[in-house]
Amino acid sequence: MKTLSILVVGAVLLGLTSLTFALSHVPLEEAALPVALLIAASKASGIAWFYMHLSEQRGGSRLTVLAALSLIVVLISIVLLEAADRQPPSNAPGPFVVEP
Amino acid sequence: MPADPGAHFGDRAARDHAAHLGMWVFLATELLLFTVMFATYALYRADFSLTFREGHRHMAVAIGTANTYVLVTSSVFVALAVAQGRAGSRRICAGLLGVAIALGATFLVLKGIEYAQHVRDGALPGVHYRLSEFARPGASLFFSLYWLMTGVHALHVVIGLGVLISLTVLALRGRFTPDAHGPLEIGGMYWHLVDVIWLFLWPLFYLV
Repeated sequence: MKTLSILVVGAVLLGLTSLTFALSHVPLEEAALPVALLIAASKASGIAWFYMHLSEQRGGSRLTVLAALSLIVVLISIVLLEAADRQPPSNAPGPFVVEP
Repeated sequence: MPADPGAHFGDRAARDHAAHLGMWVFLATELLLFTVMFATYALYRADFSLTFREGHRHMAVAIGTANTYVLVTSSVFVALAVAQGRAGSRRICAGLLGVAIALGATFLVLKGIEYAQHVRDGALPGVHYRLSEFARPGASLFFSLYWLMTGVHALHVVIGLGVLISLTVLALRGRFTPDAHGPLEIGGMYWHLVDVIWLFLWPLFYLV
């Protein structure tokens, strides 16, 4: 990867970081978390593809990343699906006295 | 003695491919380690949605944000160092790695300042939690996860710094050439992973 390309990717990463910070001050409500994670995933993809040489690798390396990402999606999805069907927790956590 | 002692493992391209594949398998296990913690965060965020959304108001957002810029910039320097190592410019490569090491150390110093502030405030994990301004259901869980996830990440930063220091020494000894620079790429990948993990921790704990 050439120096100029590395610097361009770096500038984009820093720009996306600034965008994430700026959007955190916008009242996006329920969309705030997905938007922040989407930008983080974009940055992570850029780093993996360009800086971690995934663009130069074929076959096994890409397959390994794909398998890991699939497992991450499955695990997080199962947890969220299960959590969506839960009743509010009955045990109030924390060592402090919680006001009713 | 043969000119290339590793020749029986195949040509250099085959060995580089194997090294990258092996590193990606290792990084996949690291990702899954963090995924377990992110899944726990997701579960408790679903249970205590309002508390987790308010958590960032009790965080040092300026320090967390500064650390994000620090780590992303360090990743750029590591990528530049790898490019220079590939080109055979060993002193420039070592210098760029040195800047990345300084940035990594800066991250740890800032994290230490932040941790100290949390200790003073009583924003501690589990039964030690005593932050009265944020005394609501799930608040101690938020900070327990914060300490766990950022603590494990900080440990990875320390290991990553060790890797970068080793690469710098190897670069100064002229071990990286246009034909042989595998360890530089592989070591750099570990540092980039440390950066990638932080890119997700930052919004979850400091912004949203």
